[in-house]
Amino acid sequence: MKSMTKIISAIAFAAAATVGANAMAGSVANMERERAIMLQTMLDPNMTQEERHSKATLSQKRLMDLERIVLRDKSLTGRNTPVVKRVFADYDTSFLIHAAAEKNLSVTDHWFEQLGLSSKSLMAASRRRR
Amino acid sequence: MMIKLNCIGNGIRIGLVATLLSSSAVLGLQPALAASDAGWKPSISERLVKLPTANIKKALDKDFSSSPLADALRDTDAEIALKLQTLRDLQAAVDQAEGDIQFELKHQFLAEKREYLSIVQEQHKMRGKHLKTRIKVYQRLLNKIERDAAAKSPGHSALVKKQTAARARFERSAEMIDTKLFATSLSADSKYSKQYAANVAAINALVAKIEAHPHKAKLDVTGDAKTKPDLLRQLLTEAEGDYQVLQQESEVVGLMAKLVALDAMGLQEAVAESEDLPQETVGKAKIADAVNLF
Repeated sequence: MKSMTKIISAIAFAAAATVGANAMAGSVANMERERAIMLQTMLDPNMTQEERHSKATLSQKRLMDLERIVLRDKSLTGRNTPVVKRVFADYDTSFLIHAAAEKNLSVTDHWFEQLGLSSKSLMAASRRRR
Repeated sequence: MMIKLNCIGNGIRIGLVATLLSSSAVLGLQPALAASDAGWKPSISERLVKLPTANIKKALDKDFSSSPLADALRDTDAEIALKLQTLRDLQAAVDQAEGDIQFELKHQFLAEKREYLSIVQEQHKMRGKHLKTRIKVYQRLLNKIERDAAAKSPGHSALVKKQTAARARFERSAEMIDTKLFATSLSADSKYSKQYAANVAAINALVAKIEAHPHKAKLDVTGDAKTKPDLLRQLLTEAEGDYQVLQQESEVVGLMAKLVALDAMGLQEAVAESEDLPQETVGKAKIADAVNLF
């Protein structure tokens, strides 16, 4: 019984260590998660304007820090994994807050611009049967 | 008295012949002393690649310093210093002495010179071993770095390039973004930002202190070398240069040995000329002296 307890505590310790290591290595994953949540909030039609604004502001604050953490993370240098490659492939979509501020645009406008949707193109769009 | 002088003369002559022969041996680069077996096998050569540029030489120096070869070299250096002192003392004594004592001292002086040359030659052999090993280590490190660089895929290089560009873009715009966001509700005044800024300030203060430290220049052995391969090539060139200088020094030792051999020949002739040789009576008996006996 004692040895079983020992084994369980050893496994728990090892698992905790693994979780810690993953958390250390997951700066990119954290940023991507936060960005996805922020975009979801901005595009959610079921929210009121105030609700959307307060939630998006909170997400943007967090995302700004997370973007800086990823950009300053030296352990990512040369890490040739699909996730890291994708993040650094396009600065404008990966580091949304910084790229938007750089261009003097709101985050939403910048995001739509990256998708190829401008106010002009949306206004020019027409509804028709396919 | 005559017998005693003859004995001294014979002794010097035998000694001179020995000096002459052994000096020739030194000249022929065949050391009279047994070559030292002390060696140096760098135990840190692989780890050196991972060290900061400025520490590579220091780490290798430290490794060498604790090797049997370095111990042997230190012993030889002490021996050479002692031998030089003996030679200086003997030279002064030779200048003051006269007659047979001077011959005896000159003989001793030559014998000591021969021993000095043997020790120097031994030291050169060890220094050569040290420099050859050092050259090999630098060469191996350089090859490893070049191999590693060549092994990196184009994808990896492209990623590093993009990461560098992204960081540069961020650094360029960070201050402007902070100013802009300060005016909005998205001010950069988060816990992370504050702590990061405090740490950056601390790091900058420490870097400034390090730059201003009087010992910093002493530790900086990198000179103009900016990258690791640059420094390794610089160290390699220095080691090659040291090895060539050592070979020149060996030539000087060879010339010194030749001079000792010539001095020994000269001294041998001088000893032979100064000796009172017995009157030669061989074959001088005349037949007329025996006439009266018959």
